[in-house]
Parts: sequence; structure tokens; C-alpha cells
Amino acid sequence: MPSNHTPSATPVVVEIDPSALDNGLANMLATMMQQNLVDHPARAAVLEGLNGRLAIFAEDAEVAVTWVFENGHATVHDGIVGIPDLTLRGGFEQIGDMSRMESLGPVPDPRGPVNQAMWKAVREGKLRVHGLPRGLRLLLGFGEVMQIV
Amino acid sequence: MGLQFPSNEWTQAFKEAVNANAAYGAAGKDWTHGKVAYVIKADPRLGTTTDMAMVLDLHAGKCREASYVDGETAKSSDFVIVAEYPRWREVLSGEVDPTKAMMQNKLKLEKGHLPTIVKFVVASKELVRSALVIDTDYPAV
Repeated sequence: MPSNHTPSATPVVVEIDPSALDNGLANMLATMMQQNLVDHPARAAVLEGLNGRLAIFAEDAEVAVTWVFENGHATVHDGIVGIPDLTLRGGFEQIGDMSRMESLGPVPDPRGPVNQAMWKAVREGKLRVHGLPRGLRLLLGFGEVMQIV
Repeated sequence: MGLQFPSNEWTQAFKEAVNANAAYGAAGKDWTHGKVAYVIKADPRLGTTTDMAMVLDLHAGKCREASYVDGETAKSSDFVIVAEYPRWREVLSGEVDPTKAMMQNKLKLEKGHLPTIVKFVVASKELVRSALVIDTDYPAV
């Protein structure tokens, strides 16, 4: 889906912290982000606007990462690092499906089947989001950068 | 007695199993992104001294061709997924979900466009699930 953002003039940087080189989730997310920025260059502007810490914990896979966003520089670390502004906790299925969520522009499409499954997971406590509403911008921005469609 | 894993015979049985899996046919019907290689690292338990691979020529929900080749040959595939033998055994026998295995760094995508794989995650799961119907002799871990 084409983004409405204009391409960024400043190159953004996506890095894997040395602590996370053997973390499969970190490698998956960083690769996804890098390839999405190549496929959709306009998303660099979204990434550039993100600031804060986002922790993701795939509980049943027993793997966690923390993204640190700072003025167009995104680094993924192994485990929970520092005090996250936003934390997503859930099963690996829900974490894996996050990038498949359907959107209407920058917001989730409530009719999308993946979105409906995600809302159901939230209602059932299988996916938990800590840090809202303060971290809403971080959540939506991250979702837009990571989206694969 | 089951088919030995990994082998050319097992790979051909895998092709037949994939083509008999209606769920894969439905989930993979839009796949036009090329060949997928499952590379098994060299392992004395398998009697292999070099990496070996099963290369699946997938197209529109079907496996057109499957071959059992060495790891070097497999590198020309569009998608190359690499793991040690015990990890493949866990995934192909249904003990571990492939997405979970990737998150745990047990399966590594060494070549290919990850967003495409994620887009076809249901097809990817059905692909490995196809192996469950194969009567397999897995060497002991």
C-alpha cells in the first residue's frame, strides 16, 4: 500500500545491537524493517519521526527485544533494555502477525481478518499492550513501517 | 519402514505430500516468487560431510519439482532457509512451529525477501505441515 508520506532527505539507519545478533526475533524485525524501507522509501519519514523505546516479548517463544528509536536511528537490542515507553507482550503467533495487519492509511482497518484476530487476542489477553495512550504514536508509526502490504 | 531423512526419496515424497495438501494449495495459490531451499547443515548423524538441501520449485499452490542437492547448489534458489538437523526434525515433525523457530534463531533465512515470506506465513506453515504425512525414519538426535 503506498504511503502518503514524502521521502525523507536524511538517510535513516536500522541496526542490530551486537547483543541481539543471535536473537532470531531481532534479526527478523530488523530485516523486515530494512527491506520495507527499500520497498517503500516514503516510510523513512515515518521512522524519522519515531522516538522512544518499544519492547516486544514473544512469551511462548521466550524471546524479547527492545527497539530504541532516536531521530531516524533505529536499533534493536536483545531482551528488555531500559524503561520501555510501550511494551507488546503476546504469543509468537500474534507478534508474528503484527506486520500482516491491514490498514486504511496510517490506521488499522477494523474489517481486516488479521486485525480482527488481533483484536480477539487483545480481548482474550493473548496480546497485551502496555503504555497506551502515551505510546500510541510509537505503536502506529512502528506498525506502518513494519507493514508488509 | 519409513523413508530416510534427508534423502532424494524423502524429497520426492515431500513433493507429493505438498501437492496433496489442499490447505497449502489454497494458502500458496498466489506464490509466484520462486524456489525455496531447506538447507540441512552437515551432520555426522546423517552421514553428511557437506550441507545438503531440499529445493522446492513452488508455483501457484503446487510444487512443480523437488530436488535433493548439495548446499552450494541450493544457494541459487530464491529463498534459502538454513538450520541444523535437529531443528529441521523439530519443525518437519510438527514439534515446533516454523515462525517460532525463526524467532528463536533455530531457522535462519539466509537469502530471500523476508516480507514475502511473512506475507505467505500461512502457506509456509502448511508447507512444512505437509511433511507430517510422510512415514519418516529420522536419525536419532
